[in-house]
Amino acid sequence: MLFNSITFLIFFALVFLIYWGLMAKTLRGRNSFVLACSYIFYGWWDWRFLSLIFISSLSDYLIGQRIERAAEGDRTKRIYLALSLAINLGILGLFKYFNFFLDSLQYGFQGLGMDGSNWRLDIVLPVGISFYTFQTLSYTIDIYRGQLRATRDPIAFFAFVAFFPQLVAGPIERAKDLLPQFSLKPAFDKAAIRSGFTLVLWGLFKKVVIADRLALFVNAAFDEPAGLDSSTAAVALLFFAFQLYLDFSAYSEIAIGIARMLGVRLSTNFKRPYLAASFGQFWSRWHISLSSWFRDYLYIPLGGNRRSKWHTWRNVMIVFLLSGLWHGASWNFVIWGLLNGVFLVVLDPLIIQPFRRLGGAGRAVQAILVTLCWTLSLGFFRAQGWDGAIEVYRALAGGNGAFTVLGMGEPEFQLLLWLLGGMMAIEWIQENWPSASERLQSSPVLVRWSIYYGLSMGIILLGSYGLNLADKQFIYFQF
Amino acid sequence: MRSISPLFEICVKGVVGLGVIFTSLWALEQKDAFANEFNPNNHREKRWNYLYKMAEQETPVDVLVLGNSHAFTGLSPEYLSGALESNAFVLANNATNAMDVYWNLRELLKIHSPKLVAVETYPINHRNHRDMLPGSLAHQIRAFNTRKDPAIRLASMFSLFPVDDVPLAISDVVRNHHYVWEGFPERPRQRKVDYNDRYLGRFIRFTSGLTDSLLATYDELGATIDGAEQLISDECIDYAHRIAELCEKEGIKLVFFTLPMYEKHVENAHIWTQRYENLTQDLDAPYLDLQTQSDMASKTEYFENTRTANQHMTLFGSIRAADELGEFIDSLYPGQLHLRADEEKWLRYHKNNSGIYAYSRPLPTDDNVKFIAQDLHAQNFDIDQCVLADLPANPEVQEIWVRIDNFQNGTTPHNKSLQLRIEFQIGNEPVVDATISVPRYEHIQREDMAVFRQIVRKIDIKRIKGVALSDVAPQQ
Repeated sequence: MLFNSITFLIFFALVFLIYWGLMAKTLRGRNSFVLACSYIFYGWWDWRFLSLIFISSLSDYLIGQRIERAAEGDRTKRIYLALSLAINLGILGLFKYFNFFLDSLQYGFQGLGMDGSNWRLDIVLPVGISFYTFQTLSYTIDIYRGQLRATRDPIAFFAFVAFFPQLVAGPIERAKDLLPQFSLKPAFDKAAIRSGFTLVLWGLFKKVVIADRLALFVNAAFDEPAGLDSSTAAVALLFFAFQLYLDFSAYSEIAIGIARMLGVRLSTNFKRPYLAASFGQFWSRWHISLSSWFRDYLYIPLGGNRRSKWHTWRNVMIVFLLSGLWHGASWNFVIWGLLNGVFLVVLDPLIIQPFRRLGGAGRAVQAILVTLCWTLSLGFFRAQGWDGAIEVYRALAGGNGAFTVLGMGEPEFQLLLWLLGGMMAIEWIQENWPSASERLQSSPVLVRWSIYYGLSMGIILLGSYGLNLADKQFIYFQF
Repeated sequence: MRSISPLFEICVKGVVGLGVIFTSLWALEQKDAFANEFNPNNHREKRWNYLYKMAEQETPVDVLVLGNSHAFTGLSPEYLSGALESNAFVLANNATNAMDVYWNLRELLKIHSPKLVAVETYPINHRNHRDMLPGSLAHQIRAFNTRKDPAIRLASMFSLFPVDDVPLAISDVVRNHHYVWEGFPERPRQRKVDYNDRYLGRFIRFTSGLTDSLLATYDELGATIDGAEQLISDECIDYAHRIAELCEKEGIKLVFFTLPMYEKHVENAHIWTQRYENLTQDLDAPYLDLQTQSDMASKTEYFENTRTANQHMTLFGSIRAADELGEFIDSLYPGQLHLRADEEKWLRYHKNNSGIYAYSRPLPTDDNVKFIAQDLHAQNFDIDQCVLADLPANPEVQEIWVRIDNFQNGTTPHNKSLQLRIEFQIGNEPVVDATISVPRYEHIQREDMAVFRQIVRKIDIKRIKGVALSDVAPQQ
């Protein structure tokens, strides 16, 4: 069930009415209802994989209590944590990485003249597995660290793991932020519902009107990268950078908006990353819930920046390597992750930061450089396999043919440029006037309704959807 | 005063908001702002427009042919109308399947009462409706959009489409919103259909057959389709049963038939058609297999010049298929479908229909037809009819149609041409005699009669002075 589908709109309308009309009166009723809706939402895609969420939830619910009961310094505490890691990462490893490692091993064996064919498992990657695995892991780790008390309410815990707005593509919520919200009766807050609704509409507009239209150009370019000239390849890469951002941030905004309409607060996942003035800043603005997860559960335990520069660099590279792998089981993602690690370790101090001295203009140059470097790395992220990525970079460096508009006509391309310009203008306003959104929420009813109407009609009349455009999934569903 | 619950207030606002949006879309719809694409061959829309107009004008559909693109390219309703002396109509849409065929029939039965329904079997295939490829779904949605009965549309909507596709199916604005990028201000309007002409659902796409080079590739690469792999889905079987039940309930005769593809295009064709044979036996409905049970599959001029899986028939193929189906129906229900041979209204409706020249008697008062002979005895056969008809597309020439029957003394029309000795005049020149050779119209293959056709210069034929069947190759 996609957020940008009629099925979901009907589903959510019913959920909203029943939730506030009937279920929100008791805590248990509310949590049971959220859990049932979340399982329906996930099972709509493939009910068989509900078993994985159930196993993950049950094991961490039980293990969390065991960890809490074990005395500080007791060996069993560590064993229980290892068990939680083994179960969750085991499931993730089996479904996401097993074939990747087998392929890599097979490649190695072939180099040694051995036959390693037919080792692959015929398995499907369950939607959202990386997201909910990290979410539930944060629960047991926080209990182990003594930062969180284990819950005794299984329904609340299961609802926390499977909470449908953020189940399949985040934000990856921490148990200490989200779980307590399932222990409180939600308050019907009209202002929160209004702002949630606005976020949902805005997210849908970004996804359907801009991101999916960018996809027309990007898909056409990346489907046949060999024939691209350098300017078309450059635009394709840049468009993909915007598509990825708009697609994923749209998902996050819709998720946050839906949760808000149900009286649940989710964490912010994006903060205008393309205005970041350094790579360090970029990663504190891009997919914040994942970046902070890696920071808290990997980078800092590895020693963070508390030891030598070399150790810091090593830790950064480990985090980016694993972040790349988190995104996808392929060497392309590994390279993409490592590249971004190198940007942070090398480019930030040597090339980006020196522009700070130039003031406002320097800051703009910094943002442009960061965005361009990030864009360049995305060739590995988007291309099909190593060969595809090389084709894209070869096209970028090579041919001098004329720029070609791909996947759409000239007027549609021009609209796209206007939309992107408008988007960046809105980002800039939000960056410089953080209260702009709140002021909009409190504007007169006619203004607000005009915005709702404009966004809705914009989605219907300008959206990139329809027959023969069947695949409209959010990009991050594949992770 | 009791305060309004906040949830109720939000619901009211939601309903009002949706109302405003729906009203805006409705207004755009009324303005034809995103009407269907201009397409002179928008046969989907044209079919239902005509069916409703025919009902309005009390021109009943007597024989209804249902199917997909194979039916509307591969069966000539004009010739079938002539062969059965009634109104035949092909109600078929691209890429349709059994479920859609059933709903088409449901809607049609609200406005017409056909005596016989003939279902072409391509829509009864391995696919379930929900497994349709996006391209097929696009056709289906456009076809759905052309149907007019609100109740049947509503009843069929959620069977035919996933919920997400429903707005595309019911709204021109939603479906065609991308037209805004395709020259919106100059966007041509839907062609206004002239309802005074005759349209029986056919869409001519292919007029020439397989080329030598393509035939060579069959020898090189083999068949495109393996009949053994062509299964029938449970859903299609279910809807075939529903069609049969509906016909039985309405007292409508039901037959199934399979149009052919080129013989080298399909291997194991008999396995495929046997599946239809079995299905129709279950349904207790007669079945005509033109793939394996006639010589049609061997005629290269009958097939679209393609090796792709979906090979359709040509104009000539469609005429022959109509002949075969007409003969099959006649053999099942002798004379029962020949409802309108003497009906002046029917003959007027079929003015300029060469299917009438081939099988029936045009209206004597038709200004575009001249009767040269009728019920004339010749040696060993009779001339049932000889007419000279104008060709609306080319005023310089005419067609001569001769139908002979009642063969005696072992006479056969096979591989024969007709030698007609005629007395004729051109303009004010003197009347002269000549012999013209009229070749057999091979697309009509009956045992009891033969049709001959020739295009001739515009002349005034006074009378036939003599006639003979000859082995001599016809001269053009």
